[in-house]
Amino acid sequence: MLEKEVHIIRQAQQGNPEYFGMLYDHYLTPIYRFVFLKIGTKAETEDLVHEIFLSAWKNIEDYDHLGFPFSSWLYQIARHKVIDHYRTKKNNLNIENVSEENLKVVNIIENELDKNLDLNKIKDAIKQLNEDQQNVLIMRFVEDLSYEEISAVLDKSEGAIRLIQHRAIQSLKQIINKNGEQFI
Amino acid sequence: MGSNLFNKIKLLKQIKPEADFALTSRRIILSTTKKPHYQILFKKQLQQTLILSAAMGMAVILLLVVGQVSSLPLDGLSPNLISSLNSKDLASEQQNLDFNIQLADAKYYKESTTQVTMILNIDSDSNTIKKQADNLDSLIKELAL
Repeated sequence: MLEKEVHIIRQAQQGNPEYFGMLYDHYLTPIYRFVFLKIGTKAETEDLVHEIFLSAWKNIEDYDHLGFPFSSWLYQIARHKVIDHYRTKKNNLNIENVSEENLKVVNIIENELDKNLDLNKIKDAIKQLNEDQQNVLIMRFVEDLSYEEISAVLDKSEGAIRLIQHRAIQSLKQIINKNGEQFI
Repeated sequence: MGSNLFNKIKLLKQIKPEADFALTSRRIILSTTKKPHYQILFKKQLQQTLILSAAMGMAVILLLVVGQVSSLPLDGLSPNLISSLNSKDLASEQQNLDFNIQLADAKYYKESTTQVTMILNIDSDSNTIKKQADNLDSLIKELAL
């Protein structure tokens, strides 16, 4: 959570773009990561992330601070944008191009970290989970959100989130083991 | 084993947007004109007023309905409906019903007994005729011999 977030949000709600810029800078990366892991292509992720923040800027007055960080609200917008994206997506996507683009993006990360890390396998395995499991896994283990925050984003009880998390981990292990990965 | 998986998942944290995209998108978003603040405030006020009015309306309707039910003139209702609420009347109605059923049963038994007797008589008569016919047959046969 951003320091003095409530004050920053109030300023942004009064139409001050500088303050919204602070929120943008703070939350861009986690929201980008969340969308990228669900969409998988750089270009589409960028389009969606732009739409998410534009929508947040236009409707920031509707955000009510109820003890949850601003990120919960942003994740809600992101989740709905991703659902809309898949709902309206035409069947004209070239699978080969997508794979190339994925590899390109993840390869950059791999080169920066370690040649041996196989992020693509984890990313692809996560994409095979159902929507709730993907959301919980990304928010919990990649973004380090609390159960309370995740339950606010997904509109489910904390118990349900824990159950989804448990199933997500089991499914992920099964998927990776099925693909012959040794490190699990 | 499990922690290894979590470590691998944590590596996904390295995914970041490109700096060019971040700057361009930020500039475009922040240059987007928003509705004037007074319009937004007016919209919010209007929404709140509508919600409050709807709630008040519902409360008034509920009060009217509850008030009317408690002040209903029960004396003006149909006597049958009122008697149906009295336990003594209900008990006497039940006794009358039982008595009527017993009368109907007695009538049925009486009629059915008469009918059965008549059928039995007819049957016994037919048996007698049959016996006489048999006797006649045997007589005819004897005569023929």
